[in-house]
Amino acid sequence: MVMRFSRWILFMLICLILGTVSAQERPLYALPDANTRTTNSASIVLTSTGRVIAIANFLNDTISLLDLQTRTSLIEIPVGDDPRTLAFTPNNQLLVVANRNSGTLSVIDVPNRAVIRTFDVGILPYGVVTIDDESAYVSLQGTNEVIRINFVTGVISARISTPPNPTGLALWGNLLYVTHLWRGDFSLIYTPQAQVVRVISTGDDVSLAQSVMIDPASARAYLPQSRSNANARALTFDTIIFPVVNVVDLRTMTLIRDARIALDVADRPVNSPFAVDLDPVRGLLYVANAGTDDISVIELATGLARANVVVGKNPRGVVLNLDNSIAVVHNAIDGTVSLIDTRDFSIATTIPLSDLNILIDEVIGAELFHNASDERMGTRWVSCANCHFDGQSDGRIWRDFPGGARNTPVLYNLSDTAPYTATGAWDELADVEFKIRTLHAGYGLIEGTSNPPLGDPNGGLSIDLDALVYYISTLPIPPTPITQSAEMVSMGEAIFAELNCATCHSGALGLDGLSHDVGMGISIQTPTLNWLWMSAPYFHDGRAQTLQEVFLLEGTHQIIGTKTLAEINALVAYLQSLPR
Amino acid sequence: MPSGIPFFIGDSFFPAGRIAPGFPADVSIKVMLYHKTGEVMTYDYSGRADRYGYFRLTGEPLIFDQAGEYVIDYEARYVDVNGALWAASMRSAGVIADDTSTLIAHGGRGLDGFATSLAPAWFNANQLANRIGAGNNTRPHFPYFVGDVARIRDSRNGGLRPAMYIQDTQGNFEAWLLGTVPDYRNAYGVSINRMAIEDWLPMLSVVGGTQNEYGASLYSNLLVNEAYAYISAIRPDVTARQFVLGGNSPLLDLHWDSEDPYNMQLGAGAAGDRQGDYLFLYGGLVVRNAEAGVNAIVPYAAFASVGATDGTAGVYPPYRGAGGGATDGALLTFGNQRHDVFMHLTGIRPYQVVTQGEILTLTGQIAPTLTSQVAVVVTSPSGIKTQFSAMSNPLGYFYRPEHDMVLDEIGIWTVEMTITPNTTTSAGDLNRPIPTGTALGAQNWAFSVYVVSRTSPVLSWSRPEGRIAVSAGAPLNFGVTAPNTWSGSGLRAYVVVSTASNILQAQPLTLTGRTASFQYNPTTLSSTFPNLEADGRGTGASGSDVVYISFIITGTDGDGNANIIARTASVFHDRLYSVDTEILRNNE
Repeated sequence: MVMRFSRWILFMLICLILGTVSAQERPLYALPDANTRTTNSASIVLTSTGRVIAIANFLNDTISLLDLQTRTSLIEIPVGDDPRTLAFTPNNQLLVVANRNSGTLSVIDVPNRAVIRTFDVGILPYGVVTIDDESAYVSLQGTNEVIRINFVTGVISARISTPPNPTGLALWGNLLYVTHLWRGDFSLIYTPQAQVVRVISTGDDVSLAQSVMIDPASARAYLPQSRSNANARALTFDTIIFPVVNVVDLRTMTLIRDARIALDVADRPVNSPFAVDLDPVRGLLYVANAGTDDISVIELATGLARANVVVGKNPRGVVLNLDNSIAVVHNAIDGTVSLIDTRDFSIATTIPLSDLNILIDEVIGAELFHNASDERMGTRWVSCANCHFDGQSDGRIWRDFPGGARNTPVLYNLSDTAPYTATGAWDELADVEFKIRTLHAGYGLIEGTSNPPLGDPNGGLSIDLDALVYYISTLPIPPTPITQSAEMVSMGEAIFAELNCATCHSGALGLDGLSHDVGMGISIQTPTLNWLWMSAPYFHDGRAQTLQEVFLLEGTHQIIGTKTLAEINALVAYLQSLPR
Repeated sequence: MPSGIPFFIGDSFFPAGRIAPGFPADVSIKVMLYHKTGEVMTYDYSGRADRYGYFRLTGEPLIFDQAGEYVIDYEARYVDVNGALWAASMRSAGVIADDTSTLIAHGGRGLDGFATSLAPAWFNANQLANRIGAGNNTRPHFPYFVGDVARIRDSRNGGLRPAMYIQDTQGNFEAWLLGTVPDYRNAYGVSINRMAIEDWLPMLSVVGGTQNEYGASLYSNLLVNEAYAYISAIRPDVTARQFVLGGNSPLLDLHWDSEDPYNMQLGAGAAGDRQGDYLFLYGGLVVRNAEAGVNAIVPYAAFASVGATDGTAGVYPPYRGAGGGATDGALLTFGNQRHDVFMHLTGIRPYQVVTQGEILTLTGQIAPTLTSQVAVVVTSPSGIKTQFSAMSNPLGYFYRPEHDMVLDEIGIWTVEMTITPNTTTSAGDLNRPIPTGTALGAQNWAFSVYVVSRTSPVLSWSRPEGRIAVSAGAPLNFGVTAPNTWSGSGLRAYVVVSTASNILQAQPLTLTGRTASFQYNPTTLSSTFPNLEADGRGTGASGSDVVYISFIITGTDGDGNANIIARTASVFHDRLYSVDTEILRNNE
């Protein structure tokens, strides 16, 4: 009997082990069939009839409609501030638009060409995809969630927490795929459960993961991304940022490393691949390179470029018409679309769709900020936007930056935070000219020799440099999310006062314009305390991964001996609430 | 040890290697160290190879404790039974790197003949040649970044162009150069200012504050900036190029194509590089400039493999894209076996036959040429296991003398080796899964070493002894027979066929009675190893790779003891050498 019982136990154990193994090998969720509708968030979209194109004009705060058959502009419609992506409903009657800065979702009646509803959705909405004719998923970068919203009633029926900076969305049946702007995470949300069920990494060094496109036939996802080589042993202009399209096998949710397209080799150095579309018949992938104003046409069979097509400024989207004969490219800063004849990859026509009723300095500044192909700005490898897209920080520590390891700063309110760089090496924003000439290996915006930093002003020596300075000093500032109780914040504020933090971190910006050695053996410019909620890691060299760590590490800021962890957490809550 | 390999302070060097044919030659090695401080040191080693040509000279290993330059002269001499002198010599030169330097050594970006501004560091050569109008030219420079991989094509348009440039991460040297020779332009019209921005400063010799066309050679005493580099391109046991670049000729064109027979060196082959061949590309940059406060010695190493005539060419980051960036596939592929990381062993080689009492020295060069962790388990014939794990140097050179061990038992030793990259590549950090590798030629991550008694007789075989003329490229049939006194049961026979670069076959043989038969068939082997020349063209010993063939039989001898007996032979194109018996007789 004892023997029999032991055998039974052994049998059960074996079953358990085998069961575990087979469960691990099974996909989490069955994929939809290849005919199930797929849709992904994009700045340019096509109706299911293939007749009408819509684009989001992020600079002009409008959307535009184009009749693709007649190739005529239909209308430009004002929406919220900073529209980034849009989506038609399956019946093509409505168009929903995610407005990043205003935190809203605009709903447009397509036949009547009018905004019929606007809903507040949260902080920094970015990607939007429609589920049906009444509801959509929207990614919120500011609060790290994806919401499901009924855009008829405005009811948010689900809030799904995700890894940081959810951005691009792609929906395939019950499966919602999410990219994360500054990291290589790629999340799968199982929509019936309204939760993230799997997160894979497409690389720790991935950034600017704007979008994802699904090919249902191959069950593959294509992710245009940049790679930030922050641990490069010696920064040269061509080791900082790499343009790639990563490929994920959706059956297993695994990165197919051998299928990755390194665009610099497949085509030529390009910058900021933002969007892709696939011609499945010819096996061609169209990649919109926002930083080099071109489209890479990649033959998937060889992994090499069939063509490189120069288009307008800052192409952020590309969509093929229904028979794949035309690729329509959204030139976001031009407010135009380029129509590429895919037979010979020539530009058939370029159609203006936005009146760009904005300050010329903003247009030129935005163009330069996002551009890597203007030889004054760089060498096709690096643009300002690669590390500071939308004024944010890429969250990286650049190990061998000139002068030592440096944490990428956010770029808000810069006109009030001089001098610049961690050591105060620039006394004006126009000294960014030096970064352009060195790190970017550009020729510079000032013709001839520039003045040395801390010397005579460089501002005023170049209209274009002044425009760039205007753009980066007026970047829209996102609202601060409320993540802690008012009581906690106010307790932290009291501790801030008690510790006399304002001696250095004074005023609305929390800085004194001076440099101090806070126990690091080097004098560092006092940084602003605003936007700490979105600018981890901390200290000039990023040595503190979290705000809590700032107060635990050795140095002037160490208060762990005098304050409790609860008090430190309150102080952190206060700091994360700035600016208020 | 590959010639010209850059060392680091703390690295160890010890003379170990193999002589072909396998003579017990007298080997002498002179190491001359030219320290950065100006001091010159000389070390002499001498000794005798074993009867299979393996040598690992006695004495203490040389541990480099100062940065500087080195020259190593090797010489081997052997007088055979007929009184003929066999002699060989080799010179190796390179640097012991100064790891505090703020200068970085780079190869060149882009294609040979197109050293233009903004040439790419990584590229598919066909794609790039089309774009820039380079026609059929698919010849890269030495890869710009240390650790990168060049893929070269087996054709006249393939090959490589040695090049070496400087990046100054601190700026003093760059500023000095910009101030001193502001009007300098390279042969392609790129200004010194642009070269500085793009981090490829030229190795210029500057005399008395100006760049002088003849200055470096005629006015060496007036040099204010001295910049030159040791260049070595080494295919296992064949030197493709070895010279000093710089002085008056920072762009000296010493490119080669894949048809270059390398001056008919033994083992080079009439067709030069072929698909499956590989090269280590070494550089040692020396810059002395008192005005700029620079006295730097900087290392460089990269890897190149030869692809098919109609294959791809270009330069890629290492590890098949694991560090990000493009991939052009495995470093080497032979049949179904793909190598993403491997070590080319230069002391003991896989499946080598040596005599009892020799030292097992595991040393070699890892490809790609970056830091790797090497884990080793050595199992003696009696089952005693010794294991260790150690890091290579930053450029993949591996030798840890503390783990040398005496091969004190006769029989078959087993060496298991796992190599795991531990580094950041030119394109970024390695993401999982990280490719791993082993010694090239190992099977299932392990290889054997056959240790025979010093007094062991030679395994008898079906062919005449000594030097025999054979038909180049034709199959050769062999039969080997265990001694009559050995027990007929429990006999095991093995054959090993290898070249300097790889193991072509290492397998058991079927015994019929005491005899095992084997056919060496270069045509069949070349379908898996296309770098093996099988067409028989040309004459003379240098017409194709040197092929080493070893036969080993283990069993119980007439005294009832476990024993091992071996015979080695070398095929030099149209000649077959088996000198084991003659050596044994000579030694007696």
